[in-house]
Amino acid sequence: MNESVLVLTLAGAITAGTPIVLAGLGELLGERAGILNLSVEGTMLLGAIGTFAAIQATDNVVLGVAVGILWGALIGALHAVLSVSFRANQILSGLALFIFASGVARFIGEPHGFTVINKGVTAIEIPVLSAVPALGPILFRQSIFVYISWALVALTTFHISRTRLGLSLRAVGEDPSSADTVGINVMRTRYIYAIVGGALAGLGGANLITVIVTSWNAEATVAGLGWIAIGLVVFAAWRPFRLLLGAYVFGLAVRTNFTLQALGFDEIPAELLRMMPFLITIAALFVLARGDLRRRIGAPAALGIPYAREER
Amino acid sequence: MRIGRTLRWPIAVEPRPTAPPWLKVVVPLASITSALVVVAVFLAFRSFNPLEVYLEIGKTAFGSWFGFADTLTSATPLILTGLAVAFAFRVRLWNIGAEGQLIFGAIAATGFGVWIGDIMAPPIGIPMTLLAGMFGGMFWIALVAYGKAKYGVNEILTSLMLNFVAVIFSYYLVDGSTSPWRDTTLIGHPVGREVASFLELPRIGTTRLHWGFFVAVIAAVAVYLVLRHTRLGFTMRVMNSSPKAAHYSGVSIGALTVRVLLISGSLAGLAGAIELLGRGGRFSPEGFAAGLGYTGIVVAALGRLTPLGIVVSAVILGAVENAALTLQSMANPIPISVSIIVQGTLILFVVGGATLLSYRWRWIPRRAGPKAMPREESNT
Repeated sequence: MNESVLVLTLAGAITAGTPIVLAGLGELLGERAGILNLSVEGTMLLGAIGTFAAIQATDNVVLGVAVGILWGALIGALHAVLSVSFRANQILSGLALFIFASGVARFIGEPHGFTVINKGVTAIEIPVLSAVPALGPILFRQSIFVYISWALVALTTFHISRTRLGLSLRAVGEDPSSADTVGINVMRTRYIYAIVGGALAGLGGANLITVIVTSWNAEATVAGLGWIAIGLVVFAAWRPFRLLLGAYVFGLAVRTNFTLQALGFDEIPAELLRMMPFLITIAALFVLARGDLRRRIGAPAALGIPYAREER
Repeated sequence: MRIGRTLRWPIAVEPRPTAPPWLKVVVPLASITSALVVVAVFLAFRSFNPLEVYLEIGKTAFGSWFGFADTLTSATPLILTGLAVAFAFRVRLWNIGAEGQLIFGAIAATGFGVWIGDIMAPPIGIPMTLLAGMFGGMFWIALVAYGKAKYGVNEILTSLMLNFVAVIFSYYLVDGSTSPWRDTTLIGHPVGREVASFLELPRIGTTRLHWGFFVAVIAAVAVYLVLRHTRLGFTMRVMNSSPKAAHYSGVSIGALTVRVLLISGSLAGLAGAIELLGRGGRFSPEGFAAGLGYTGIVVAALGRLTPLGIVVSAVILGAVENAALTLQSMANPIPISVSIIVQGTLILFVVGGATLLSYRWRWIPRRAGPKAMPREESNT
């Protein structure tokens, strides 16, 4: 494998992994507050078509991305209403919203079938750094979403482990009744992180449609990335930086597909390569679930459990 | 976050042991009505007249014998995937993989039908092919069941990931290779091989309705009997109400998990075999499952996990699905995705409505509550 192919593959892996990083960060924050949101796949789809439709109508990319984020936040808010206020089963609520959001996305997207986006988001070359051999093209000739995702990973890591608000967040996710006792508003915290989580999934969808897929196809635009993001949060043991690395591994699995074809490895069925991300996720879940590894990494203790003050 | 207590939730939510009987009727009806209202908003946005659309759905689905037969045909796989989801959920296991199991049911049934079914008489061949489908579904859930029972691997994620794998694999079988599943006698776009025509499920009169519908109803009755009158059903009830009690009374939770999930998978696999033998006997990966597995979740939730409720809600959703196909080809075509919006809205309201049954909502007048203490600002 010559170097340029390697560089292109690694750069592509980062590009392909970034929507998973964004959506996964949203899921991670929600889960840290005890909210399991299974609607990510549908939310990303809705974020993608929201962005797409807005860009087609106005030619304004920034506005489009904002619309995508808003759609995501809306789904996150609905999930909060159902699972926090209504105390619905979070799994069922998430699945319901997955179906709902996919339906709405398809409905909005019907007139846009297979059309290409008017305006996408192009890569930004960071001066000086992008000229560094190998590393430059891999890391510093990426779209704005990649840089945003790095900032967000740093920010959430700092937020979760170094700030007072992050401490409240963890308390709500681990032991809501104790958090309530010391004056943390459990309901509000859960609402906020559910909405932020939805917004980030919407941003992930916006990233997909403006950088990677650039044409609308309800089946192929997201195609399982949202579910992989949920799986990766478990794999990353609820830690943002690990999530970033995990997402890049998946990006690599996706890109290797193209690279191997480009290098002429025709005998490997394309279908097998397309299955890889899903098979890897399953394998990762199996490895993680074994024995003491699970005890060491520990999911938020109150994950998926509705909080009711009078029931504690 | 010290924004101060600007809002106090003025509603108390209190659990209640039993819901009043009238509420059990009102809540589902109100859920369906609210869903219709929300969908009407979506339709109005695209300048369709919602009332006309609903009338058209009603007319298409129930207005004629042929329409009704089509509705029941669409309901057939939904009954089975709904049962698959509900059966697992009876012990709080989530089988989100009915889609993949359905595809593997169809793949197994095709394989069996093409190789062995040929030499059998239809009275044996058809049940055997359906059975092959059930084994296909079991095969596809086996890894999920093993992982859950042995290591506690999250069955939601594994069953779901396998849906994608199943879809891609079915494309490999028909489009991507010259496997025995591909019909190599035809040139052009690759299609699946057809099972012998005498294996196809007989139809009722000149309608499209086939015997598969009755097989699905029989499956619903069987699930009812298993849940009510067998040792397995009893163990499942104990397990559902108290896993600890089940454990202390000597139930092997792992073995129960495996059994329940295998039965769940076999129901979804049966749906795949019936779809294959009831709709032309040719397996093509394009849109074969088309969300039937996910719709099963809606069916199970809407039917409140009871076999009778599942049959009824499968007919309702089958009607919508079937009518959506017709509406799509009208002079002023209505996007087929409207049926997914109906499903999504319906399940949202059903999930929300379930809270009304298990909790009492009480309005607390503002002055009656204790006045919020002025909060000291923290010094950090």
